[in-house]
Amino acid sequence: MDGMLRARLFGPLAVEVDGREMPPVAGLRPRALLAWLLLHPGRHSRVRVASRFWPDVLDTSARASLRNALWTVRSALDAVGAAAYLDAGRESVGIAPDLPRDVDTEEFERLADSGDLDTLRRCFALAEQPLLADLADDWVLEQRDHYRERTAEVALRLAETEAAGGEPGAAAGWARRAVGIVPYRESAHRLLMRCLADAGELAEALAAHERCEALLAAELGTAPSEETRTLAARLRADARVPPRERLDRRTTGEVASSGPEPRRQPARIPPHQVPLFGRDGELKALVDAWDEARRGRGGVAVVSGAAGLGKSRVVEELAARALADGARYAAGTVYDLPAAPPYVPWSEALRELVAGTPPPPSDAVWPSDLARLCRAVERHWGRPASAAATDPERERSWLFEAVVEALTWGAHERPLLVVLEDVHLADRATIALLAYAGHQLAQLPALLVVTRRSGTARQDLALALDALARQGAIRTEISLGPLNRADIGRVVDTALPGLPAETRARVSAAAEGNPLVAREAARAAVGGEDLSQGLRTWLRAPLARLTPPARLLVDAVSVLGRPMGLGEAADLNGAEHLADAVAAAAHENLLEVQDRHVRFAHGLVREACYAELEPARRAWLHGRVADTLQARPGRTVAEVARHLLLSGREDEARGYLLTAAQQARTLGALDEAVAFLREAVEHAGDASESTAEAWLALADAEAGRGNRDEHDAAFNQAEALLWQSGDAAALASAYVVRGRCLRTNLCFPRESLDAYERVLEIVDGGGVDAPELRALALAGCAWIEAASRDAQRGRELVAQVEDLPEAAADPGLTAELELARGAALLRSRRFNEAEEASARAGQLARDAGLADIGDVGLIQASAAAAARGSFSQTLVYAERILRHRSSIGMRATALAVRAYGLSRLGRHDEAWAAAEQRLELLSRTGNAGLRATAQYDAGSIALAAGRDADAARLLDAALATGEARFPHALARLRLAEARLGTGDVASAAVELDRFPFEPVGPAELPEALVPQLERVQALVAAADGKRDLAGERFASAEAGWRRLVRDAPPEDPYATTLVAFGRSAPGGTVEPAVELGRTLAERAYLLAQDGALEQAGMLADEARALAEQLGYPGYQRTLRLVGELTGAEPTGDGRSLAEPELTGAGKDEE
Amino acid sequence: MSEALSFEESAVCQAPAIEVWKLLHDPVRFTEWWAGVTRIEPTTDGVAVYTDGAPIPTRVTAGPGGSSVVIDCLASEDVFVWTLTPHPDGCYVTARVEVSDGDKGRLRSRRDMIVASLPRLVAAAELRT
Repeated sequence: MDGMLRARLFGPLAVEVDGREMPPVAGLRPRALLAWLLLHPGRHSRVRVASRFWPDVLDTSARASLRNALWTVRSALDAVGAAAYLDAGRESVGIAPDLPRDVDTEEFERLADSGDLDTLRRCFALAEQPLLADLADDWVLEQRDHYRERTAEVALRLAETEAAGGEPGAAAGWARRAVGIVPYRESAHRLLMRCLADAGELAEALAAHERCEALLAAELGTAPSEETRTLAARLRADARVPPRERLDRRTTGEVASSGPEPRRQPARIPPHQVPLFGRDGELKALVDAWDEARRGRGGVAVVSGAAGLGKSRVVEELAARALADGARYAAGTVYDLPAAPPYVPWSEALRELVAGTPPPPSDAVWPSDLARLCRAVERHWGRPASAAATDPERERSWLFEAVVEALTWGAHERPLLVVLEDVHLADRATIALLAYAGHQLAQLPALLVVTRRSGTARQDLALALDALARQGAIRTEISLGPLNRADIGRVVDTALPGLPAETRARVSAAAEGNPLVAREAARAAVGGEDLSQGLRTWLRAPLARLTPPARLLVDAVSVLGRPMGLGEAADLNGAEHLADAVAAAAHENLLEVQDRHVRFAHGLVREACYAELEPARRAWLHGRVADTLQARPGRTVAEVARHLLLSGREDEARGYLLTAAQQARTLGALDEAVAFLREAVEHAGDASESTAEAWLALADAEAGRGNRDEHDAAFNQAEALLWQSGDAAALASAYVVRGRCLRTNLCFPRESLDAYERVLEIVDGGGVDAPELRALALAGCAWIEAASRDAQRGRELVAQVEDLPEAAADPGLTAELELARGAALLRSRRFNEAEEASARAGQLARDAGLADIGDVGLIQASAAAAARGSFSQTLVYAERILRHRSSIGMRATALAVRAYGLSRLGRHDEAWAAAEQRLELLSRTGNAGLRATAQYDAGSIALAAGRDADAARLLDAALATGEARFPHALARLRLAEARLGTGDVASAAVELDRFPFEPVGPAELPEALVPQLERVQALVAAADGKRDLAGERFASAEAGWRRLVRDAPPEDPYATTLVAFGRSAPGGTVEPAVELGRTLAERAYLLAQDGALEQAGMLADEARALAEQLGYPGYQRTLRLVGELTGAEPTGDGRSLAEPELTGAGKDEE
Repeated sequence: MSEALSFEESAVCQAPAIEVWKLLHDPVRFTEWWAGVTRIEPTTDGVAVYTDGAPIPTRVTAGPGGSSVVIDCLASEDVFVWTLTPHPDGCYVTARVEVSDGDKGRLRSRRDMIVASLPRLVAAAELRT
């Protein structure tokens, strides 16, 4: 290799060899990988690099993706004869250390510590463009911030060196550049002041001090340090200049101004200080809810109303009272932008809450979970964010729980008021969190107030609020209507006192009961505007009166779509102009400063100002805002992406959209992740490989949401692009993703198998060097065969994959294979071995850091334990899951297992408690389907416990939802039995009439439904006095169960247990022998009552023997009743068949 | 590849739907109504249905969406879907049969079988009430 590789990382990534430019690396991920390797010279472990770039998948999958990406990188390098620079061995990867290279970041580091002026100048020149400007990965943004700081340090060294060399003018120039890069570093400002003073520019030095003051006030709300103030005082003394008034940092919106005297005279009252008129009743309802909350009966208050009717104002009044009560207060509002980042109002409110609350105990885990959403946790509580869960659902569970814990902690010493404004604009994740957290405030001194604009149709919001109402969590709902004429008159008089009567009347009429419109109309009338025109027209005059910096500020805040931090405003507008700009805009009643943010007086005013912008200026402003945000540390990438898109810079936006999608996914916000990905593909441009990456990520995310059609559509797009590119390995890799999606989230085993077989065709047929993909495909096939097709074939495939070195090196894949083996054994009814394999899979997965698979292993082990009759062991597995930090779904499943096991052991009170706990847990999610499933399961537990009224209530409620996640036919049957238990024979018969029209899914074990139906029909017939018919039905049921148990070997009475895959195991288990015993006991009772004592005695003996053999405590009471009649047992508290209580007589009464 | 052929046959049954439901879901009772079926033997994966020829492995499963019952002859890919809907006199029974390979001859024989079986199914259900 003769040539020299030159790589430029400052600016867009560019590589050349001997003057020949390397073609762009296809795909964002391979390009980022090359950039990372160039930025981190040396060899790196493949495993570490793979897990850094593909963190959410199995090691084998990550290694396969790394292999593909490296192949792409090598192809690009090879095009300029530089393939040898990629040093990719079996275990490590890096840029070849022994070949000559010139990488600008390495050069920068070499030069940065020099004391030589020319060297430092060259160093600074290298970094004039932002690092890797064409990438927006999280690590890139971190490194970009790092190099900004380093570049500023170089500028400061240049300034110091020039100053030491007696060149204060040149030194000032470098210091000024440093200030431009790190405006909040006070030492840079001091150096600039000194250099300017040394250069004899005292006035400039003092102006630099003023800018420093303004910047620090704007960004941090602080004054310069003593050292800086002393320096300024000395300079002022030298120049004989009096001190200047600083930017007022109060929250009133009154900002000191040195600008021209404003032309409009009416004194402005900030909106939040305007008296509240005509809302006494609404305010009282809110205050009552707050008083209740303070007493420990917290909940949610909803304030609705059209725009401008005063929702925020009413809530502000409540907040003022709450603060006077000594409460903690936190508020957040949404971004008025399409596809805003997830959870914004929550993260804003939590930031305030965290800042105003002492740190929680150091052993609490939740603050580290909360820190992923709210950076203030690290800043104020010293708790850095923990790693996100790989599974979005688990991450969401942790996050939601952490938010509830934060609210609980915030309310532990003082009552807490949290306000979320304008939730009608909120993202779906915010609404889901509202539903979850709102439900759990009932026992806390905390009130969550949400405001929403009426007339907006948001189904998810309506459903969430409806669910909260049904759970009794809504403390009050207020709907603001128009104010009456008298109150509008008072609003006008307060806004502009002394208006002529005729003008006042015209203003009141134009307002139509809207106080915001009344105030704006009054100002418009004073300005001579035609009141028949709308708000937008009225605002033109005040907008026209603004100074250019003020107009820029107003326009920029309008495009930003949220309150603008003073620091952001200073960056955007220049700190020196900020005070005047804010003052001018505030004077025109357009903007105000509140909580160190510049905001519009009202959302309607913002909308009107935004509408006034010409398209070209609007696009320019979005670009300017994007640039400002990009340059700030901790920027929100979704927001940057949005402004880049709105400015027409789609190429730049794409990387940010992909990063935003990844961030949303790691917060469990899949809906938002999908929205970002959809935009990324919509604005994809011509780069087919990176577009294919985005389509594939979208297919994966849609599968995570359970959307098969959308998954297929996105995958087809990715597949078509990959075909065109001719990249066989990438195509095979895409099919591996599809196979995983289809067998996990989507549950289409046949199609999943097709996808994995396609991988094998591509890899084996095309001679593609992709052993990891081959191993993954074979493992996928093994799982599908084991779980849903040919169990024996599944076990063989598992053994085959285990022999592959790729699988042996991947603990996660090893765990998955063991899980597949367990499933195959379970389906083969080898329950002991199935339990062992499943438990082992759980442990292997946990050791590999795959908690989700670990929990699945334990659930499967519990199903196997139940199937072999060890219900106490079932409970052990459930408790193990509940001890882990599992997702809500997994905890709910563990509670279902606990309830089932306890019920089967006859511990009905505990079983009922577990079922209720599960119901409560799933109700919090606001997911109607999950709640219905929990109602069904709790109803079944209640039925077994003899709680017939509870059972009827819960089963009826579950069926009424129409949700399809639980077995409807079985639910209808159990509801009939429960109705019978409450003595309502007629209703029981009606439920039976409905039964055949209920859908029957494979998880309902259709073969077991017929005898269950016959038994309930018998019970209804008996209760209805149709004793012969009852006898026939019992006989049919008995025959049905006998058919299912007849092959059971005597030594293994559980061998006939049926396990329904697809239902939460072991809730989908049917024990035919238990059902036979129950039916025999009930039939015996019927016969005994009819005098057929001998036959009754025989049946009862058989039922008793079965119960003993199976360790089943049920139907003992029925057997005692039979004993009383046949004389075989001591008498108990017998019931007669004439009574309708022979209903589910197999319930456990012991 | 030939296109699938299909047909539908329906009948009103005076018995409650629940009685038809049981006949459809209980393979052991196929002999009561399925024309030509002489014997049923349970297997590990459903039942073996005996007619004049060799036993036909058969499985009862749920239909698409779970609102109907599918009697699935494992020996061929023909699909028999039975659906019940409410009717003022009892219930309305519909059988839909799809012959996978477009064999018109087999389609005819399937139709003959259903035309013979449907009245027997209705009668068997009505007998139980």
